[in-house]
Amino acid sequence: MFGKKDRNRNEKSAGAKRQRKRVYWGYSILDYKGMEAYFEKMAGEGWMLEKIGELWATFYRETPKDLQFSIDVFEGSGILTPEETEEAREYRELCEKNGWHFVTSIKELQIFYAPAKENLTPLQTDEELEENLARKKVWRKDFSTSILVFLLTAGLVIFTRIRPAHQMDEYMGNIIYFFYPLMLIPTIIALIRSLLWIRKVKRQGLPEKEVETFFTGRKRQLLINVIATLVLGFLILGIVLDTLYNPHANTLSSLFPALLGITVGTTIRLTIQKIGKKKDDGIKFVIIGFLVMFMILGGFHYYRELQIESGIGDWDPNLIEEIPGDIEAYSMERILDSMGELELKRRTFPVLGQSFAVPKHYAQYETWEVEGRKWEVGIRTYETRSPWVAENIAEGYLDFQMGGILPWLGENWGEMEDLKEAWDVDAFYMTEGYPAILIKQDTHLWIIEGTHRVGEDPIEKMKAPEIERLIEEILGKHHYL
Amino acid sequence: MPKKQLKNLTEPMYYILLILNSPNHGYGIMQTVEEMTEGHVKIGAGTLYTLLSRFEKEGIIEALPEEDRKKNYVITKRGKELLEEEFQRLNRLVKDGRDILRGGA
Repeated sequence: MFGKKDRNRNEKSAGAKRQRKRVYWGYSILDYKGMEAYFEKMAGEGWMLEKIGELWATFYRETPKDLQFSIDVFEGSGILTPEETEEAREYRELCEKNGWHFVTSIKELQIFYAPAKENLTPLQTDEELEENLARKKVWRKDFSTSILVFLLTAGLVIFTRIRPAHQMDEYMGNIIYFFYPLMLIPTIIALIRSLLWIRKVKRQGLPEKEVETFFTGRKRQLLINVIATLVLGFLILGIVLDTLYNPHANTLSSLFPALLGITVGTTIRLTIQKIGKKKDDGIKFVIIGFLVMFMILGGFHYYRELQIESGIGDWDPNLIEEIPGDIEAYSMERILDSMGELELKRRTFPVLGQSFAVPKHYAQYETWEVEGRKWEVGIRTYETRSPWVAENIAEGYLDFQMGGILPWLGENWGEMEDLKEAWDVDAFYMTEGYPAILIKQDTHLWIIEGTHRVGEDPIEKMKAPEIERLIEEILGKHHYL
Repeated sequence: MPKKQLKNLTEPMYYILLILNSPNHGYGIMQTVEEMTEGHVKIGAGTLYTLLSRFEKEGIIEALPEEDRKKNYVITKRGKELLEEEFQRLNRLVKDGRDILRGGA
């Protein structure tokens, strides 16, 4: 199989540094019979298995050999059990004495080899016992993981669809809304695979040493991993874009507990498996892991509080910003003109969360003194890509303002049919207590907030000439009443 | 859900318990079984390890203090009762077989 050149290189490297190669490790634990066939094929090609990591398997150069591999599910294994326990050592010793050489272990699986020509007693000689062990240690773990991941993914997808508004004005939210459902494909494949495996085992017993096929081998796992990696890539892109364009977005800090959980969880698992020596080391490491996690979360919470406090300290009551060139700003001076003597006290134009769906989202906040009375107004503008996005944000905003699932804590908003018709817009909502108006027209959404109260009657309030003039300016048209 | 209790012993289970009437270690058990049955019953290392763990958990055998890093096991009182029951069951099977197949000879 190998040319002269290969053999020479191999001889030269003997004694010197071994030639190694790393191979993408895509097998699911259910494929352990397929792994045996794969290791045998590699050994025949002159690559001997050295170790298996989370993503890669390492092989070293060896003269091509005809070997038989046997992968055994170890009775003494478990999520919280270290790989190198006294029990594991005893068990491997027993296998060695029977002619099976130990190579490495990966989670529940112990990998052995022997020359192919040797007629050894197999590691498992009782089919029923072997099947029970595989079902208990391998399938249950695979199935519970698959169903948990599927339920979490489906839950998130459904949740973001119930209230899509929250996903619209941040890049991360857009990516979760539009791309995250792709994750359903790998989770469903993994779940179906797990169910098909157990169905086949129930009918025909454990699979024979399988030759790699699309549905049994690494190609299926590759598909799963490619989609998952793609979605992960998009999520990272979302984080980067939010960090660059939405400095106020809490993307990173909202992801922080999840990232911390995953990191601590993985560290605990690897620590138990690779460093632990005794069976009950697992519980010890889990307790330490949780303590570390709570300490970090506590620290993070404290840091956020400090940040918020320092942010309040920066608030300048006399800040007057210039009108930026790239946004629609309205001349409040003209609008309030008829009210009497005016003085501008504060004016800001904060850029708010933007995304693929909402390329522009900004506000204009102004404080005026009118005849000795403070008059505040805020106009928040969403310029979206489609009426559907604007509608969802409007619904989400109203839902939030009305208290969501706790309506008694919310404000009472109502749709103003007559004003909607009068202004010829898609939606016109206003509230009684907290003075605010929401207007949606086509791809645009405006939320006007402020102390624009004139009379006690809210309808009267909205008919106040100043408000009318402001809406006139926002919409660029007169109403038709 | 309670664990399924052992009802009938399989051949390897029977031989393991039989051999553990005197203390022995894993590899010793395998060799003795093979010699005793002239290679008719073979127990894989994985199967043996699984059976020993299961027997130990169920109190059928117990581990003795290690000697030279070798873990020796011996059958317990409960294990002996189980083995005795199985021995009698097998005897009944043989007796019934003899009655019919050999005309009670």
